Amino acid sequence: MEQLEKRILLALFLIALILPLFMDDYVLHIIILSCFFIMVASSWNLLAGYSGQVSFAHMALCAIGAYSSGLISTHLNLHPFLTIIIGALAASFLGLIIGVLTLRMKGSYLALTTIAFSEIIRLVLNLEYKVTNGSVGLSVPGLFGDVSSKIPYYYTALGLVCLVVFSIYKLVYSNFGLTVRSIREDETAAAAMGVKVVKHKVIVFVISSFMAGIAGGFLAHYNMLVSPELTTITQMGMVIAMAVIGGLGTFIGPIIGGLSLELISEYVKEFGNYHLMIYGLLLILVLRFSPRGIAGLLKKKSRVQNNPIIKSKGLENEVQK
Amino acid sequence: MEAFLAQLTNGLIIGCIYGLMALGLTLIFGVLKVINFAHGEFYMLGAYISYVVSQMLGLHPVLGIIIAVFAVFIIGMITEKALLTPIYENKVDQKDEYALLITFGLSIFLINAALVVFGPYQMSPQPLANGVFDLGVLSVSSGRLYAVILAVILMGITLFIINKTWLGTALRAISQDRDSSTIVGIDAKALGSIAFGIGAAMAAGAGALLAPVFLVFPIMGVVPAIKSFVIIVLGSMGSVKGAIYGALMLGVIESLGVFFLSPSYRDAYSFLLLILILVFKPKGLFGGSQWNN
Repeated sequence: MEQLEKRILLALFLIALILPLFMDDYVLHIIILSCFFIMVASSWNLLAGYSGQVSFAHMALCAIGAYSSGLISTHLNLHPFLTIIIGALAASFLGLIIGVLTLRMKGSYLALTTIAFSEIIRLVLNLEYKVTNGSVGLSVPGLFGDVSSKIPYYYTALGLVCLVVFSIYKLVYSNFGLTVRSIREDETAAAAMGVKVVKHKVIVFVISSFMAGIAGGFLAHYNMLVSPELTTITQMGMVIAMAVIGGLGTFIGPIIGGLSLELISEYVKEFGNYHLMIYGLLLILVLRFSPRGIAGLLKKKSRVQNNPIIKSKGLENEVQK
Repeated sequence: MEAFLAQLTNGLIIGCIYGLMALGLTLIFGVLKVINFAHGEFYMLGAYISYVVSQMLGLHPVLGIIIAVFAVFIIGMITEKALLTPIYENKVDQKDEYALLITFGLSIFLINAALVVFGPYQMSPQPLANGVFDLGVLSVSSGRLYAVILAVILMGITLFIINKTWLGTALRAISQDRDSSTIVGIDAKALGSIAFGIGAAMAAGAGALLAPVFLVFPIMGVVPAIKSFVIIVLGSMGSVKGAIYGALMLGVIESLGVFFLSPSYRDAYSFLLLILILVFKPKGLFGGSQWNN
C-alpha cells in the first residue's frame, strides 16, 4: 500500500475514534450506515476487484445473513452477537453452493446466475410473509437490547469495519491473495502454473459471502428491522457504484467510495432521488475514463509528487509549451 | 383441462414475447461476445416510449410500438459506440468484467432516470385491441393475440435479416471470427453497433408489446431481463435457434409451475430451471450450434 493511502486511512480512523465527542446522533447514524456500506463494498471488491468474479448476489447474501440472524435471535432467544455469526455462516454456505455451481464455467455465467439468485431471494422474502413478515420487514431485537444511545453501536460498527478491512488487507497481500490476483490477470496462465483455479475462486466467494453476512447481521440488529429492500437491484447498484467509483481492485477505493457516497446520499436525499441516477452515470464515466476510480487518481497524484523524474518531465513539458 | 389449456396458451404467448427479447440478447452476445445487462432497461425504454406516443400524444398503439423500436435502435447504437468500443481497441484489461459492469451501470442509470422523469407510478397503456378472441375450447384476449402476432412478425424480420441478407451474413461472419472477418473487408466496428442496436430494439419491441399486460414502471425490466438470461443459457449462449426454443420451453414450464404448484412463484420457476441447466448441461441444450439455422 502506498504511503499516502496509509496516511489517509490513519487520519480517517483517528477522526472516527473521537467523532462521538462532537457530533449528534444523526451524524453517528449516517457514519454507522457508511460503515455497513464500507464492509459490503470492500468484500464485494475482494470478489470482483481482486479475483475478477463479478457477482450481483452480494446484497442478497447480506440479506440472508440479516434474516437468518434476525429469525434465530427472535425464535431461539440467542444473543445477537452469536446469531450474527450464525447468519454469516448461512450466507457463506449459500455462497459455497453458488460458487460450486457457477465457478467451473468461464465468462459471464456467475453474473447471470447471481442476478437471478438475488431476484429469487427478493421474491421469497416478499412472498413468505408468515416467516419473514413480507415487504413490511421483520423486527428483530437490538444488538444491545433496548439501549437507545448510538455510541455502543457506533464503536461496534467501527470495530467491525476495521476487522473486515484488516482481514481483506492481510488476505490480499498474502500468498493466497497473490494466487487469486494471478487468476484475475490470466486464468489460463495461472492454471498452467499449477494454481487450482476453481478452488481458489470458490474460497474467495465464500469468504466474501461471510463478510457480507456479518455486515447484514449487524445492520439488522442495529436497525432492529430487516426488509427485502436490501436485495433490490438498486441497492446492489449502489454498492457496485461505491466500489467502482472509489476504485475497483484497490484497497482504499471501496472505503473512500462507501464513506463519501453514503454521506452524499444522506445529505441530498431531501432534494429527491437524483443521487442514484447520478451514481449510475458516475459509475459509467469512471469505468469508461478512469478505471481505477478515485484511488487511481490519488495514486497518480502521489506518484507525480514523490517521483522526481516524472516531476521534472512535467516541468520540461511545460517549458516546451 | 380448460384452465390448464388457458395457462398453457398464456405461457406460450408470454414465452413468444420473451423470445423476442432473448433473441436480441443472443444477437448481441453472438456478435459482440458481451452480455448486455441493460437489456431489461431497453425493454423498459420501449414500453415508456410506446406509452408516451400512444397515451400522451394520442397516436395509434401500433405506431407507438414502431416508434419505440426505432428510437431504441438508435439509442442502442449510440450506447454501443459510447461505452463498448474500448473493448475492441484493447483499452481495457478485463473485457468481460468491463462489459458486465458498464452495462450494469447503464441499467442503474436508466432505472433511476425513469424514476426521476416518470415517477414510481405504474402506468397502464392502451391495449392493442379490446375484447376476447374465441378459439372454441379456450378464449384469448385479443390484445394479447395481436401482441404475439406482432412479436412473431418482428422475430421473423430479424431471422430474415440474419439468414438471408448481406448484413446477416456479415454479422454471422463476425460472430464466428472477428479478426478474419475484418481481413475480408467487413467493417466489424460499424456492424457491431448495428447488431447492438437491433438487439436493443428487439427488447424495446417486447417491452412495448407487453406494456399493456404488465403495466409500465421503472423497474419493470428487471424480471424479463433475468428471464431472457435464463433463456439464452437454456438455449446455449449465442444460438439463435436455442433462444427461440428456450423461450417457448420457459413459457411452458412457467405455466406448468403456475398450474401445478403455486402462481405466486411464477418468476421463480425459470430460476430453478437455470440451476438445473447449470448442474446437468452447462453448455445449454443447443450447445455449440452457434448461428447454424
